Amino acid sequence: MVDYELLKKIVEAPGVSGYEFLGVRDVVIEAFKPYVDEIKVDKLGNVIAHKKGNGPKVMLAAHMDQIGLMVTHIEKNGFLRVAPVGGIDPRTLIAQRFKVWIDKDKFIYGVGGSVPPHIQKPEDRNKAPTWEQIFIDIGAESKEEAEEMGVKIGTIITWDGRLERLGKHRLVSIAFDDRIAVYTLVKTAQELSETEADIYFVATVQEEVGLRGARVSAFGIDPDYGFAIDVTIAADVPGTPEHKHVTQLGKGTAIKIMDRSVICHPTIVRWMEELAKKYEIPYQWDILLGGGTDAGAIHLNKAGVPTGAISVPSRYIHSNAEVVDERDVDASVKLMVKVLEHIGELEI
Amino acid sequence: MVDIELLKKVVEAPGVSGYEFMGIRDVVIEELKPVVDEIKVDKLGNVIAHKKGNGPKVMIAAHMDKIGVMVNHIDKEGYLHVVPVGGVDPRTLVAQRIRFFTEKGERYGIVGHIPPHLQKPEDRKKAADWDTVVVDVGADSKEEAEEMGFRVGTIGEFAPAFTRLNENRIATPYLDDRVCLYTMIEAAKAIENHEADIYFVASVQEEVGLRGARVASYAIDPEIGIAMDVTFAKQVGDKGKIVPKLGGGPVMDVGPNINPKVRAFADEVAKKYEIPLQVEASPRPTGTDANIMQINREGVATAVLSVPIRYMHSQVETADLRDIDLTIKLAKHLLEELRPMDLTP
Repeated sequence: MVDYELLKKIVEAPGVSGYEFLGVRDVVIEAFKPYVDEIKVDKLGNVIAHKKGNGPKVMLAAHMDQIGLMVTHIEKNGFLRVAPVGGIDPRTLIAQRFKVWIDKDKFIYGVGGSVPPHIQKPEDRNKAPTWEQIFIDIGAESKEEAEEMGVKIGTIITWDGRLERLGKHRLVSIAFDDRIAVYTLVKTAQELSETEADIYFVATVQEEVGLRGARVSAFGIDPDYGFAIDVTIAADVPGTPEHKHVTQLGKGTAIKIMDRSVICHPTIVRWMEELAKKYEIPYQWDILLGGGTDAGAIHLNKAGVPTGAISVPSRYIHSNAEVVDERDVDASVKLMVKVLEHIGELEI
Repeated sequence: MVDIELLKKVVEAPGVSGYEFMGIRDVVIEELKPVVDEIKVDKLGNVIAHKKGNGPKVMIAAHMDKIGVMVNHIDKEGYLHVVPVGGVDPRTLVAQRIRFFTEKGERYGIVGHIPPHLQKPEDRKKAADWDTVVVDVGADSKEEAEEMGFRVGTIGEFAPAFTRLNENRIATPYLDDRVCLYTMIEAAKAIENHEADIYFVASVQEEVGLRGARVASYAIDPEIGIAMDVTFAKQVGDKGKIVPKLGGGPVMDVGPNINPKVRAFADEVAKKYEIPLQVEASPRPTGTDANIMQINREGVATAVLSVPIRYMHSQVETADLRDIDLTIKLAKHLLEELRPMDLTP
């Protein structure tokens, strides 16, 4: 069972890449505080929470940034033109509600306009919108009015999303990518018992624009081992053949073998599988051909870092309605706890 | 006031990516040496000029490399076939002059053009590509071209064509990024009192992947990194997407690549000295040296200071002298006013 209140705080706080300070950073600091010895925020905004130990130095990373939009210019008639921060499909913006972040913890609403079917040409009905057709309507009648409302070039926008339960075991929310992993990281810190490991829990920034936070935090930490926690694709939905599911909801945590940014250290992959078997933690494999994770930046740090990763399977990622299964979340926490408790036994 | 003679000299000095030693490097050293404490050239060819201070360590970088072409084949009729170094649009080369730097000195070549009389109607709609861009250097055979000094690897760039359009506007190849390099040099000369420990870097190989800034920032290990690079100004065909305009003053980005504290400091300084400052949204890591500087070592608080230009990566890049002048002032004041500050975003 997930800690619903904690998860809600973590997923609903704003924090688009480079703008994690708008909300999520403080939530993360607060959440880690009881379980670690030291917390610092670096020059890019990474939260680095250190639980001291005399064993191997381990870096665990989950990125706290989310994809979003940035205002690029304001039209004379008050509409906002936007560009994606991270990978956004413009089709996910039509007829959506948005939060336009005027300041830390302060927003106004906006909507992604759509063309009513009544006035669409038949040939346009089958076409996906392009970025040039996307605009956000904040109710302003002029550029001046939009500016009075606090909107500027560079203003950050997120979907108006929230956490809800879905069926018996499932959850739906904005930003499960990668806040479900940030939650996993916090729960791991919370549930950890005895370990000799010298642990750095890092809520990284700017993963969605190129694994940038993980790169600089890994440089500073200089870990012996690295682990990333992220979401992976669960394409176990109608119309997708089984061999293209990547993972399935409810089948356990996904141990990463490879994605476009990293080939996980094979010894770590095997060792994680043994741990999962030993402690009866449900697991599946994650081989993802598109997309990368912080593991990609960590394993290339300095002279190289043996790195592994786990993923929480998620449907509909990079949308306002990402879905995960809480049993997979629980399994992910359990496996990360065991990894840290046994890290002294790992031989590379 | 902009020193047109020096600007022209900086713009026209040779230096395609990786070949900055062909001219621009010495110009930079000559200009910066008298106004800094130490100057050195690193193993990639970056010029690193240190003006010492006890305050925050700041690296300010303008890249001195240019886009250009490299000869990859000389055919038996004496024509040169070339490949781009950096982002050259082959359409900009048709019927243009190219200045080559051969073993036997400077030589010009021209890119031929098929007379409209001889073109088929369907060919008229086709854009030039790297297969059709062929350079004529006046040779009738491979041997003659080689005799003139050409060989595989010979470097070429757009021929100089510095043009004053009117009182305020200039058009020339290579405002990217020589206008910012000039601006940085003038700012270095203008600085009076400063606390900051300043490293002026004329970086190499930006156009082929931010390579010079990568190694220079590793060596310098700055707290703050400012890239000076050109950005887009409103122009025909921009579909209303471009916000900054020529004559509107310097431009500074906002976005994940920009440290908000440094950016807010820049706003304050611009306000204090009544310098109009234009804003540009950069939702992705910028295509400037600030991109690589930000992820140096444990992370650097970065910003980008830009002179807006039209027609980037062409022979007619256009800038406004008032923007250049104001950018020099802003760069000078930013460096003079810099004090230790909390750089946490």
